[in-house]
Amino acid sequence: MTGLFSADNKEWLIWAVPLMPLIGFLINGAFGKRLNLMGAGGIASASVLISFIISIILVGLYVPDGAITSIGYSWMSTGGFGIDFRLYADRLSGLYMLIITGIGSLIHIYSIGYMSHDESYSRYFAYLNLFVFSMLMLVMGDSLVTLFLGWEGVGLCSYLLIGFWFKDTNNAIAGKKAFVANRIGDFGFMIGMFLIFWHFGSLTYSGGAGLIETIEANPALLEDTALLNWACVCLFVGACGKSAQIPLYVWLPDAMAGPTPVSALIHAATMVTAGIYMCARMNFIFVHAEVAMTIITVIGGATALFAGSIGLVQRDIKKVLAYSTVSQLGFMFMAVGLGAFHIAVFHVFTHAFFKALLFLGSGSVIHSLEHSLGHGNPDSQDMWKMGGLKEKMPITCYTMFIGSIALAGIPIFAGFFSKDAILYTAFHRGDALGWIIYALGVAAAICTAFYSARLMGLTFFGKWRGDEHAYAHADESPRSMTAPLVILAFFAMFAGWLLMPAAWGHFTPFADWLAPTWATAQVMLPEGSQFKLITEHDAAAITAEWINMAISTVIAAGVFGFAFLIYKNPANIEKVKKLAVRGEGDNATMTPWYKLLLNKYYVDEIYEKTVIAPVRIASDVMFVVVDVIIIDLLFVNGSAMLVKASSDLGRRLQTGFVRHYLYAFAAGVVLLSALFLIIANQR
Amino acid sequence: MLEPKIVLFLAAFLFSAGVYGVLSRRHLIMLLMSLELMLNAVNIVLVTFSRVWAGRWSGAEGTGLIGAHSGQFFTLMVMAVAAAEVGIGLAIIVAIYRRKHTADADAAADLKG
Repeated sequence: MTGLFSADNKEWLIWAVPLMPLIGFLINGAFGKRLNLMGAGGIASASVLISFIISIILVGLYVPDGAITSIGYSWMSTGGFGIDFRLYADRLSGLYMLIITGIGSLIHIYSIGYMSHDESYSRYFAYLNLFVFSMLMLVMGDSLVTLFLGWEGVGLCSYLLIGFWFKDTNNAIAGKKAFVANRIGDFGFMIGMFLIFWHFGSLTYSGGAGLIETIEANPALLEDTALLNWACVCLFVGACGKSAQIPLYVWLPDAMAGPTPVSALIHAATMVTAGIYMCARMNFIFVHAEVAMTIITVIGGATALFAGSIGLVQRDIKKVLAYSTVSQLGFMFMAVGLGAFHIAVFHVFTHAFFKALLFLGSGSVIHSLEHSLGHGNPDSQDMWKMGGLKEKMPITCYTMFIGSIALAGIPIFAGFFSKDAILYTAFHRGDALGWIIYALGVAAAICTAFYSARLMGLTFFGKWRGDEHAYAHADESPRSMTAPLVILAFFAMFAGWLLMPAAWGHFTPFADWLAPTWATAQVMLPEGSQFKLITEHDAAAITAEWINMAISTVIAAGVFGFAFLIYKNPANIEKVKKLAVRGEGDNATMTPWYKLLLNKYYVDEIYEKTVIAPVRIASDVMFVVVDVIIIDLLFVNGSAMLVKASSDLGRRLQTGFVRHYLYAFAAGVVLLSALFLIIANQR
Repeated sequence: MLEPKIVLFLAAFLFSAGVYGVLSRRHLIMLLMSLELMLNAVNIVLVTFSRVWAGRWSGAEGTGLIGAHSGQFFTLMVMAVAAAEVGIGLAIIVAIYRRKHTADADAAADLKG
């Protein structure tokens, strides 16, 4: 017996991991209407929690001995192409499993409190469980095809959950936007998959006739760098869609229309990091695609700065976090492009904690304010109408504070280690590309420190600027919501310690854990390649590391402190406002740079004009020309009219006069007789 | 014996007269009569050839009563069929006359497409 019914513990355990959320989804989906909030939420949370416990057992006991694979069934088999439905858990996917189910279960528990006033809680928990299942399929599949199955599954769940409150058309439109942007990415992803299959003849990572084995058996395949570059660029297009990079990032800020825990789970901690997972998984191919890697790192750096600068001026607390997420994903791709896959994954890991924490914290604030402001009131997310919430919501405030300094990159907090490692990788590289990336990264880090301090200052400190009634009724969230905040805050403080810089002593359990994942890439790297797979900190360059660390720390602490001092004091806010708005009252005009940032560089408008409008015009033309004229008029009505016209000709023969028939009859006889005579004469 | 040629000319004449009548007359009774002319022209041909061929047949297949006189039997058959046809035809004419109050063939043009 194989698979779920195997006698081997690790084989049935690995199947139980994705099956638990699937069962939760089926129960909530089928019987959700009969369950109360605690029933639906409890089943959903328990299923993910069990999954988490099983993941711990698997990752703790079995994965260190080597990757676990378990075949389910032969999924498709056509000619030379066969894909087995097989689960695969190695160190990389094991780490992702822990992040997904661990943070996932915290967010499920949090959601019980957050969704307590929503009547469609069972639909919510069904979607959320389906999401966890799809995400687990994404990281646990043993081939790009299974990954793609999960990839589309999480896209679907993201769409469903962004448009969860679909009665407001704007939410439904946001969901559609996310879906369309992801479809564009998926197209690239599929082309990349086809190219890889065409070249290597396999889509499985390893085991049997997998990619790694194919490459090891025939290293010459790696010499076709043009094809590898194309394949990697195409795969990266897919990652751009899923992980919200330029030019496809536009959906993520709009995705904030969904419930806040969804933003925390899907649009911060897990789904959006799928692109990094895919690149890290295919690292042995990416390292040979130098051009593609350069593109990835430049796009990552540009996205980090671009989104970070937009985040500086957003008023909506969730929009700040959304742009921050896009920016941090940019940091991750910077690391991927520089070949520091393990640092990219490390940033995924730390970011998952502090960004989930920040989103859940903002959810706690929104939840509290919605009590008095009413559900869906935009004021409940407007930071200009908050302030001084520290007195009312101390736990939310202090946990979020930890999250935001972790995000800003203040030393000893999680974000410091991962972001510093990324910046150091660029700093240490030494060529022009490295310096460009470093400059982009530092600029983005300044933005990060600024907006995270601004968010804290505006929300929790200073004076309340909104509706007095709302402030009076604001209250700390229930324990089911604050407990996850506290747990996440703990990890936001300490998760970074798993990968210390070399300057702080050689303590790198995180990098050691992932090391086997890059083994093939390191062995196969050709001699003389410009590209260096950076897998650990260079112990020899400790001075450079100290310099980089000092710069990062001064920037993070300085900018954070500066911004915090401005925004926690109402008098200082007035001074800052002069930077943004000139003049008073009705004559006030926005300064150009402020206007540019506030309008998000007009990217949506540019897309509207350059992409959407032409598509819409083309669709209208297609509708009129192809649909109305060619299909409806020419084919459908045309065939009917043709039959009618020929019938009209034919019916003239039917005069109804007997004589006419007789004439025709006689003429026929004469003709036939003549014919027979001619034939007879020719014999 | 009468020359078969002359009899066949007579038959051809009768047949042509019938065709002419059918094509030119509009009265249904006249049509029916012309039709009968054509049928009888055919009958004459049958009888004529029956007579001509009967003398020449000496083989195994021509010695029997039917073999030698099949043309004449066929003529009887045609007459019977023609009688039936006239019966039906007259009935139709009567029916048309009742509806249209005329026996003009052109009046019965209801099958116009």
